[in-house]
Amino acid sequence: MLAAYAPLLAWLVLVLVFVTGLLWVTDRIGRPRPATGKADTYECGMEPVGDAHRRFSVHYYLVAVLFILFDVEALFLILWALQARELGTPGLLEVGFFLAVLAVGWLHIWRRGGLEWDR
Amino acid sequence: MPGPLTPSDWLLAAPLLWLAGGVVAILVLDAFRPAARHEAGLAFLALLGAAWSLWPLAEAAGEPLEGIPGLPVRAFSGMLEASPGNAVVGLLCLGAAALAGILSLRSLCRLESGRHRTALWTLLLVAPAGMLVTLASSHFATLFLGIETLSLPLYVLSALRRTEEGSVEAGLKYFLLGAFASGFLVFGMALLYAGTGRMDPGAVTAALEGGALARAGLGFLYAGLLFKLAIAPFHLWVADVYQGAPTPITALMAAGTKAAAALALLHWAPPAGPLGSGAWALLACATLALANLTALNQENLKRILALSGVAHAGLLLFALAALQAAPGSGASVEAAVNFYLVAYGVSALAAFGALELLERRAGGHAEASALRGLGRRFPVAGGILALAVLSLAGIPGTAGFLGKYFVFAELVRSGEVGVALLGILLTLWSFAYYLRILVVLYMKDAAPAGGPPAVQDTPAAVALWVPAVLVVLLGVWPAPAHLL
Repeated sequence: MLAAYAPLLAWLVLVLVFVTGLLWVTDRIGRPRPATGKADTYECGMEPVGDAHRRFSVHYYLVAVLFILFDVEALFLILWALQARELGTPGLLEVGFFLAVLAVGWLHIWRRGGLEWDR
Repeated sequence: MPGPLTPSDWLLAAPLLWLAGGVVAILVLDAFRPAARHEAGLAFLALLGAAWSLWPLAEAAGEPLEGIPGLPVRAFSGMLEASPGNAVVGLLCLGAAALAGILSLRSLCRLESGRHRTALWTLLLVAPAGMLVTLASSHFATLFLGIETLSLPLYVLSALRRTEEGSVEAGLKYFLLGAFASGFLVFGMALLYAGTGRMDPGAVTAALEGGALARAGLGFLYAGLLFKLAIAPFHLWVADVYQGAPTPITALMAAGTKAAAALALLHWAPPAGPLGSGAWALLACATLALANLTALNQENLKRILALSGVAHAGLLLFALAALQAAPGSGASVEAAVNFYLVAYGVSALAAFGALELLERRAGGHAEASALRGLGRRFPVAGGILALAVLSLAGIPGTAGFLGKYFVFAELVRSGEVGVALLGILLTLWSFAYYLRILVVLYMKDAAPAGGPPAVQDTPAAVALWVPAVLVVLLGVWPAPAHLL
C-alpha cells in the first residue's frame, strides 16, 4: 500500500533538491545588479501605479461571473465531442438543444446589457 | 447507453419541461421586448401546464397508467420515482408558486425596474421545478440537483426587496447556511459512494451494515437534509429568513420547500434497523420543544408562523419514527406524510397569504403591535388568517387536525404509544402561541393605521380563498386523502 507512494516521495525529494539547488547556484554565480524596475511589484505587465483601493465598476464582476458560467457549460461539449460519432444524429440534436437553451441565456444577458462592463 | 425516453420518463419530465419552457419563453421575450408585460401571463401558463401534465399521475391511485408498468412511476433508469401521492404534493408546490406569484402582482412586481420582474417570474418557475425533482429523487444526482435547483432561486427571491435590510439579511443568511448545508449533503454523498459503491437509496441500507466511512456519510447526508427541512439543531435560520423574505416568498418556502425536503427525507430514510425509532423520535421531540419555547417569546407574527413551521417539520419526524418501529408500514406512513404535507402546505399558504394582505394594511409591519385588532377591521383576510392558525394548531374540523391525527395514528399503530402521548402534549403546548395570534387579531383595540393606504388587491384576495377552502374541505371530507 505505502509502496505505491514511493514515486511521490521521489518526486518530492527531486523538487526540493532542484529548487534549493537552483537558488543556491544563482546566489553563487549571479552578479546582483539592483534596479528600480526590478524592485517593483510584478503586476502581469501592468504598471503598478496609484492606490490599491481604487473603485471600479461592479459590472466587471458580472462579466467575470458570466464568463465562468459559460466556460463551465462549454465543458459539457467536450463530453459530447468525445462520443460524437457513437451518439450520431440524436446526440447532435440533443447537444444542439442544449446549446439553444444556452444561447437563450446569452441572448438575454446581451440584450439586457449584462455585458456592458464599463457602463 | 440509455435508449430513447420511455412513457414513464415523459410523464415525470413533462412538468419540468413546462416550467423550463416558461423560463426560456420569458427570457427570450424579455430580451427583445423588455417593455412588454408578459412575464406573469407566461409564468402562470407554464405553472398551469405543469399542473396539467402532473394531473394524470396524481389521479392514478390504484389504477396503472396507460403504457406505464406499475406504480410508483420510475423514470430515467430509476433516477426519479414518484407515486400518485407524491404527485399531489407536487401539485401543492406548483400551487404555492402560483399563489406566491399572485400575491406578488401588486407588490413585488412593482418594486423596481423590469429586470427584477423578470428575475421574480423566472425564479418562481425554477424553484417549483427543483421541488418536483427533489421530492421524486431516488439517486444522489437527482437529489442534489433538485435541492440546488430549489434553493438557489429562493436565495435570490428572499433578497428581492434589496433596499430593505431585513430582506438582504434573509437572502445572505439563507445563502451562507444553505451553501454550508449543501456542502454537508454532497460530502455525505461522496462518503456514502466511497463506502458502499451505490448512489440509490439502497446506499443507506448498505451503509448501515457497512463501515465507519459510509456511516459518517450517512450522518452528513441527513445533516444536509435536516437543514433543508429545518429540524433542530439546524433550525436557527428559519425565523430570520422567513421574517426577512417578502411574505409571498415565505409562503412558497414554507409550503413548497418543506414538502420537497420532507419527501426526500422519507425516500432516503433508513429501513428499520440498527438506527431504531428512538433517534427520530428524539429529534422530533427536541424540534417541537425548541420551536414551541422560542415561539412563545416572539413579537413578530411572521416569526411565530416560521417557528410553527419548524414545529410541523418536527412532527413529521414522528412518521419516520413510526416507520422505524414497524417495518412494512411504508405505504401507510407515506400516505400519512403526503396528507400531512398537503394539510400543512395549504394552511401555511393561507396563513402567510392573509398575513401579507394584513401587513400591507399595517404599513409593511408584521409585529403584533402593528397588527392589533386588524382581524375585526378586515374580516376576510383576518378570518382566513385565523382559520389557517386554527388549522396549524390542529383544531378538529380543519385539515391540520387530520394531518396530525394520521401521523400520531401511525405512531400508535407501530406500538410507540408513549412517544405519541409525548408528541400530543408538545402539540398542545403550541396552542399557547397560536391562540396569541387570535388574541392579537380580535381581542385588542385596533392600532392606528400606519403608512400609506394599501392598494386594493383583488387577485390576491380572490386567490386566498383557494387554500382557505381547502383547509376546511380537507378537514371535514378527507376522502381524497385515500388517494395519497
